[in-house]
Amino acid sequence: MIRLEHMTKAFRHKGRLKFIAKDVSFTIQRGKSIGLLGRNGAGKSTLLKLMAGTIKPTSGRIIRRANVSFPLGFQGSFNPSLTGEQNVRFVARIYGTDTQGLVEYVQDFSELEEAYYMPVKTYSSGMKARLAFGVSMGIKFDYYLVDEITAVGDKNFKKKCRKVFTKRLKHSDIIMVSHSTETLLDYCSAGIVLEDGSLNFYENINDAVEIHSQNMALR
Amino acid sequence: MYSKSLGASLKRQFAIISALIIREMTTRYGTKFGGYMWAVLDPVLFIGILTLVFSAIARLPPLGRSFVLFYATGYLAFYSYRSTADQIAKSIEANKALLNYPVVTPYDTIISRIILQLITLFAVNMLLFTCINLFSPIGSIDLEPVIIASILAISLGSGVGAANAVWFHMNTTYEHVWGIINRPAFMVSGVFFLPEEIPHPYREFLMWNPMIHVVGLFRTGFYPTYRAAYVDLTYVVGIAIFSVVFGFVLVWMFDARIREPK
Repeated sequence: MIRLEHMTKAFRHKGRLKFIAKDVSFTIQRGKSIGLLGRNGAGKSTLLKLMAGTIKPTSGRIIRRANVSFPLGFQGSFNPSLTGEQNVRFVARIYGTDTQGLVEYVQDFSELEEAYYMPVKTYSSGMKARLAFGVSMGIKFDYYLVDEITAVGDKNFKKKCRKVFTKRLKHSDIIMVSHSTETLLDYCSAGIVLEDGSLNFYENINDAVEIHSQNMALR
Repeated sequence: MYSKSLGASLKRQFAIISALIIREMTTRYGTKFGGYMWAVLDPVLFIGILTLVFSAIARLPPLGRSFVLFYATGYLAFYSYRSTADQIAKSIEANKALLNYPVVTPYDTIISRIILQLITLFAVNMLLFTCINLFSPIGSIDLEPVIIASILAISLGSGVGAANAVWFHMNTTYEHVWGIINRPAFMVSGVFFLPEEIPHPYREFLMWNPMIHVVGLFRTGFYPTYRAAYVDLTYVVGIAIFSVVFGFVLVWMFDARIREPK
């Protein structure tokens, strides 16, 4: 469960306060996957980070009674001078999961072969993405955060990713930012629409998608 | 995180901090030349220069007969403070990407660097004094004041560093100003003189600098006859505790700001 209590998030942009959400309260129950909709710059990614807890609300609070992931496929933390395997080991340690288990899982999943034991700075962007996706899939979370699913690897690898992710979603939920309504309808059951500093929660993703398209049609 | 037992959360915290320490050891102090070498080379070069210059202009150091021991005891005590303050001030910025993991907090990056400093400074001190002892025997060392002085220096460095981690993030001008006004700090910290040699009104001014006391205390461990009567332990302990509490509260207060870009 993730609960927002009178949460406000604002930041200064060119000297003016810009609100992403003003005094919003709602609860996301386990078993619901949420899609975040809104135009560019409305604050979808910021809201995702607020829910993760990696940035803090201006006022109010967010209560998490769930294990929330880092952004799916996040690779910003990979240290380029460490090998793929060393980077995986680090994530396993901070999440307190079985280190050897995760190292082997990612090695198998990412199909990096001997490159797994080479510094990440020698990787192509595709290899990095495969490593990152492997790490995300190797750790069990209650909520997976997704900021635009970007397809990784060749056709077969994509198929595998989809299969594993779908399996994970049997026991986990997802909070997703996407510009593609098909993807959102595919994965999510509820939705949040951000527009001009107001934030609305919809129990049904279809309603959220509809409101969002109306907003987009207005300007 | 959702509620867990205290024992379990402590264990998780320990796992996160040790993971950060291992990561920093293998990256910052990386495999390439530099890395760990500089943690040793900085004091070696500095003590070397002081020893060379002052043994050319003076017949005897202010204490004892060994120039190298006098400057080593002064600079290493000061270096414990200075290097800790520098490392901690950069701890959050350097590990910024890791804050994208919800389980990692700014405190974790600070605490892991403090522990890393403790390990590094212990190794540097052991190495340097062992080497000095080889060609200029030190005699007996009273460990108690040495350890107390080192802990005080590291505490002061941690507090100043934690506060600066916040200030530097909020104001780049302040970062430059701090760099400039702090450059001559070692000159007023008794690294290459004894406060007893300083004439009347100026000595009292110097006594406001907590590092004067720390350096003096550190030296009493190496010079059995040196009393350093000016050392006011209550004052330094007070300042050290204040700076740590102040720095850590500041990080807590500005938690939201330091997670955002500069």
